[in-house]
Amino acid sequence: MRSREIVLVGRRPLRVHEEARDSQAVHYFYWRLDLYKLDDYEPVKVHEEGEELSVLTRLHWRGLVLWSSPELRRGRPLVDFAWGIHTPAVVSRDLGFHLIGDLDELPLADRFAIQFFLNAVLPLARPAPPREFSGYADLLVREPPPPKYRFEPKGARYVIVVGEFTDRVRERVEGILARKCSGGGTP
Amino acid sequence: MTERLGGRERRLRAERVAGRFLLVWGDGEVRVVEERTGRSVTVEDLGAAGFWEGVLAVLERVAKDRELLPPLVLLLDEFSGVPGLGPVRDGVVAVREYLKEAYLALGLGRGGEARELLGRAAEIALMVRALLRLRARGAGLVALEDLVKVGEIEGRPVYALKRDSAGRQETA
Repeated sequence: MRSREIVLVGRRPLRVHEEARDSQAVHYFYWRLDLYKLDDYEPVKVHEEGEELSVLTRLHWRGLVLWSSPELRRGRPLVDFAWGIHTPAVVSRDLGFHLIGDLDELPLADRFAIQFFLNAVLPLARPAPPREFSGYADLLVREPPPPKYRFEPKGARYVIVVGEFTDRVRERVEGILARKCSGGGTP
Repeated sequence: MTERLGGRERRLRAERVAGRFLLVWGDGEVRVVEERTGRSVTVEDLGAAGFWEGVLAVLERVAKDRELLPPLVLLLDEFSGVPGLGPVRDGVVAVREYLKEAYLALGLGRGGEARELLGRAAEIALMVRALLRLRARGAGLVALEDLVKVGEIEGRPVYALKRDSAGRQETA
C-alpha cells in the first residue's frame, strides 16, 4: 500500500506514523508533549463507504469519536488539533453532538474528558474555517507506533458522534459496540 | 527553612514555582507564598487560571522530586473546593486521584506504573488549563448536566445536547 495523506492538517506534528489496517491506513500524528508527558500519538482513520466519508479519532485513550459530516478540501477532511493536548478536531458541516455510553458508569477522568471535548475541541470543528490546512507527506513514516499507543476502537468505553446522526451512522455505531461485545474486528 | 509556631520550631521545605512563588510544605500543611513579600497567596488572589499555572509548575517537577507529591495532592484538595469551578472541578479531582495512585505505586516500588499515572495526571491537568483559560475569557462552559438522554443503542444510553445553535438536538 502506497503512503498518502488521508486528511489535511491545521497544525503540523513532529512526524506521522502510518499503520496499515484492513484496507485503510491509520495515521498517528506524533508530538513530544510539554510537561513530562512525552510521546503523544493521536490516531486518525478515514472510513470510505461509497460516496460517504467519515473519520474516526480517539479521545483520552478510551473514547472513540466518529465524525460523520466532515468538510472536505481537495477531497480530504480537515483536521486540527487542540492546543497543548493535540486532541483531533475534524472540521464538520454539521456540529450535532451525540454521546453513546453510560455516564453513570464512566470514570471521573472520562467524564471530564467529555466536558473538555465539548468546550475546547468541538469549537475547532466549526465549518468553513478561514485558516490554512496543509499536507504532511514529508512527515510520513511507514512504521506503526509502539503497541501501547495503537488505536483500538473496539476497546472504547463510549462513542461520540459529531455530525449528522442518520440511520446509517446509527448502524455504524451499533456495529462498533457489537464488535466490542464479541471482541472481534475493527470499525 | 524553619518556622516558629506556638514556641515550637518546625521544618518546612520550599520549592520555587512559576517564577515568583514558593510552594512551602511540611508538618501536614501546604501553601503558596509570594517570594518577594512572604505573603501567602490564594486562588482568589491569582484567579483560578493563574493558580493552576503554579499547580502545573509543581506537577512538572514531581517527576524529579517525588516528595512534592503529597503537598501537591493537598493543594489540589484545597483547590477542588473553590466554588464556581463548574465542570473544571471533575478534572481537578481526576488529577488529584491520579497523583494519589502514583504515590501509592511509588510506595510499592512500581516506578513504571507511577510514571504512567503521572503522565495521565499531566494530560488531564493540561485539559483543566485549557478550560480555565476559556472560563477566564468569559466563556460559559458546557457541562454533563447539559446533556439529555434521547434513546439507546445496544443497551447503552444515547445523550444529546439539550439544544444546539440551530435548535436541532434531542433527535437520536
